[in-house]
Amino acid sequence: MAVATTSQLAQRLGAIVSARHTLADEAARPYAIDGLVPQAVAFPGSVGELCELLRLAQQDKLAVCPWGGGTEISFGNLPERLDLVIALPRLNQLLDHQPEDLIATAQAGMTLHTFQAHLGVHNQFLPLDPPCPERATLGGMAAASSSGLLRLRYGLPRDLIIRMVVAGAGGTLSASGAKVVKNVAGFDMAKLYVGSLGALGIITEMTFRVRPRPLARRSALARFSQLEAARSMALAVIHSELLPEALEILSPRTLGNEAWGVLALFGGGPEIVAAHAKRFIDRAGAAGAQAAEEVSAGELLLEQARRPDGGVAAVLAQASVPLTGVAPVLAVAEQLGAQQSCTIWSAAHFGSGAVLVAADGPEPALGQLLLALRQSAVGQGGSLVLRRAPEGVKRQVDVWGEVTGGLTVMRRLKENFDPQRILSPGRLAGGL
Amino acid sequence: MDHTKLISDLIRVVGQGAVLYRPEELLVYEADGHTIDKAAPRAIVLPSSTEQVSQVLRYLHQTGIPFVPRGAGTGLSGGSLALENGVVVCTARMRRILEVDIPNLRAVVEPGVANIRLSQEVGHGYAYAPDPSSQAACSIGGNVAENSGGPHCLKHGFTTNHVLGVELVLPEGEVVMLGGKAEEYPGLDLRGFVIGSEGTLGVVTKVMVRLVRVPEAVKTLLAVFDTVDSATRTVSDIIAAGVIPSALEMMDHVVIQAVERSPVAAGYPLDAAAVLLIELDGPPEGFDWEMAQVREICQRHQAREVRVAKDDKERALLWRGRKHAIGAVGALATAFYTQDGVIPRKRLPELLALVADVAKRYQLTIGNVFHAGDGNLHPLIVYDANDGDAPRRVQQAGGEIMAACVAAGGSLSGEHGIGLEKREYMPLLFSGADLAAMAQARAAFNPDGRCNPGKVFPTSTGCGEVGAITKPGVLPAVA
Ligand SMILES: Cc1cc2nc3c(=O)[nH]c(=O)nc-3n(C[C@H](O)[C@H](O)[C@H](O)COP(=O)(O)OP(=O)(O)OC[C@H]3O[C@@H](n4cnc5c(N)ncnc54)[C@H](O)[C@@H]3O)c2cc1C
Repeated sequence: MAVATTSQLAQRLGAIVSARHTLADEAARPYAIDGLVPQAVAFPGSVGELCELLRLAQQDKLAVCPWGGGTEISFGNLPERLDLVIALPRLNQLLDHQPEDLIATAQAGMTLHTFQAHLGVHNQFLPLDPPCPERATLGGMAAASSSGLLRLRYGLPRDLIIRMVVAGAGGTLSASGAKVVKNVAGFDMAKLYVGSLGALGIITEMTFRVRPRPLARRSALARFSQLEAARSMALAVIHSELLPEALEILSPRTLGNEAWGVLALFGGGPEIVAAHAKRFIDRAGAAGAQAAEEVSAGELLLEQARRPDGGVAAVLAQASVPLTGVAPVLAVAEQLGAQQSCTIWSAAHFGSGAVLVAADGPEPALGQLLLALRQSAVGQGGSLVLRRAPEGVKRQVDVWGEVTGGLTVMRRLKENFDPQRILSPGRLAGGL
Repeated sequence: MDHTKLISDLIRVVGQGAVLYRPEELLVYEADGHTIDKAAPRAIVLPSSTEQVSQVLRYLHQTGIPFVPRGAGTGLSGGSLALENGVVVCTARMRRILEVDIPNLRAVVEPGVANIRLSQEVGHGYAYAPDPSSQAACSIGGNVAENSGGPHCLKHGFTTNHVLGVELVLPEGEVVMLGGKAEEYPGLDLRGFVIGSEGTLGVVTKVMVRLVRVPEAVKTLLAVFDTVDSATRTVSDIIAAGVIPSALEMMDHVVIQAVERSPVAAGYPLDAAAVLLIELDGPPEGFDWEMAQVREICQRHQAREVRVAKDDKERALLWRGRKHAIGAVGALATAFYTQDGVIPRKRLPELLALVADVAKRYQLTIGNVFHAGDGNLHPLIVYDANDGDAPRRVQQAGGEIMAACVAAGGSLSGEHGIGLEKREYMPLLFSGADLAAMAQARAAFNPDGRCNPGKVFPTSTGCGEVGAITKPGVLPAVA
């Protein structure tokens, strides 16, 4: 729909962000989204430049997609259109850290790793641990609502963001929230932008609630020959007095072993952590575990729980179900893998009801598998989304599945915020 | 529209006895816990099911009549006042606990269920965590609308962290289920947006909540101080030390006096300038370190005494004073006005000094009982409603405190909401563009603005029935 030709567009972008920070034609190819190559990529160096890019996009009706570190860029429906990628890595400043108040503010293009390094100076951390923190940006993490294992104890991005600034279609900046840990003034706009994949605006700045680093951490792994035994151990832990920071079930293939693993991470005062790790191991013994022990290589296992396939599989699906639905979904995933001759790696953030299933195999088989797996998740009262999938699979299987409630309101929100449909058009659930 | 016809039409939907319309019946609904402002509703409807709410809203949509959702009416910002002579849709008859699902740590309730009843009925070592001080009366629906907090939200999170699903009847009558028992669903997080939207997006008719296990052990301490300043410095140092108490509440001299002279006396020393109620919870193995930190910090700031509750009875006694403090202070005079500003915790000492100064300048009694650990102030201004000049001074004093909170980098409200009471102050915190984005979002749910009109957003035009606080001219400059 762009009126300008590519090189004209690159020139006009260059006038805003300088030619050095613009890519066009072949150079824009690495920024393809689901195979769709943008006409150009611009790297704004200030929020003012970002707003000007959005004004230009509005004038020319250019379809825009924000890009953080690209770690989750394949999350979303196939884009309806794509003209301009706005990449945020240059908006990477720490704006404020109040260690004694446990809050910190940064621009959206800062990587999670860098943010953690700043907080670490004061022995604090942001308790969010999505995969690839070296590349993942804060804005991308929020827009894709990425999380890791620690969500069990500390929550999701939605729970930790207390203030947000967003550049809307047309380049108008608006803020919501405040730089205090408790606040109800005005509507909680950040809830709409978190997980919106840029469909309502581009996040430029966020303030987070941060935490003191736990004084100590220990992890323990229990192995069970059957999923059923692993499930009942994990459920018992969730309902016990133990307070793990994370509680995972790892499938045999993920674990690289014959057994199902229940992995617990404990963080806090040294006495609590030691006592709880020990009680976990004792319980596992009583529950018939093949083996149960503290693991020194805990970090490696935690990484496997975040990325069961190590990032190699073609497809990564994530189911979100009530607790009692976790094991059934894991079981169905194994069955389907065998039926469809696909390779399956799975892991569940058990206490949060999140099941990650990575799968490799021929595309039609993957499609069948995902449809059946989704049916299982929906049957358990939850849903299943594809966080990563090749275009062919996305054509077969809707990335989001059915939106059960509020689709009319979501459509009106999209119309009100982006009447021209230029912000990440089509990528969000319901074709928003 | 003809009033008699309206009443008979509403009765046709919800039945005789579920519509209140006689002037003496309406009186109770003219105000909520914020008593300065009043507005007369046209009628009160008391539906008993989602279907009835939906039918009522459809009817009001067809007839173009504004309405306002109402729970228990304990709100402190005038949120449930029926402006524009609207109809009140009250959830008082929707009080069933529909499901308690312990294995999944969830419960499903109707909106009229009182907060405290939920935890009581769940029992067996599980509870619903958010615990507003008004929990004996306030409804879960009201909690959702205000994103309510409470003393233990410091560690355990606010309503938004514990409500996973809401059934909402949109202003045109459509019923939508947002979220559910799982933590995430595809699409925009509308459930998250509805929480804290102050009843401006529709009527919440069902709420799915997270249940938590009650902590393994609890320790409750009372620290007694001779100056307010040393108490507030203790608070900021505890937070800075990385200790996260489950509750960290402060009461000052005015409040201590009021509590101790009331039937809920809790044994707070009468001559203390301030007390801190500090609670730690979790595994008992962790208490030694946390207690040592807390004691050391209290001593550093010359706490006169640090009393540890020996048993549940002593613990309940210490809390009794706190839970009834607002009522006890309220009883000191004919009227009171509660503020709700939030500030960064390290600014507590200077803000409390400012509150004391405001009290002196406006010749008002102000007590402070508040969620100190969150930096959430509750200056309680008590006054004589019949003293002609007092309401004006109260509002000006309140405005000055609010402006100071914002100027200190804080917010207008930590848990009570903007409602009618603080709407004219919104420009202190938000730009026109910020408010425009919020209004755009509201319009996606509530396109013609008939659902709870006149709340949250500032208006330059005064509003007929409401008190002086909403009239232009009382807004103080940013300090
Ligand atoms: C003594 C006292 C102590 C308090 N302590 C605290 C405290 O510690 N923490 C705290 O957060 N608050 C506190 N409050 C304030 C108040 O209790 C809370 O805001 C509470 O959540 C209001 O609930 P309610 O049922 O009384 O709501 P109402 O007052 O009836 O209504 C409040 C708002 O919610 C909306 N609403 C109500 N029900 C629904 C529904 N079903 N759907 C959509 N909108 C709805 C109304 O329109 C209104 O805007 C206190 C109040 C008092 C009087």
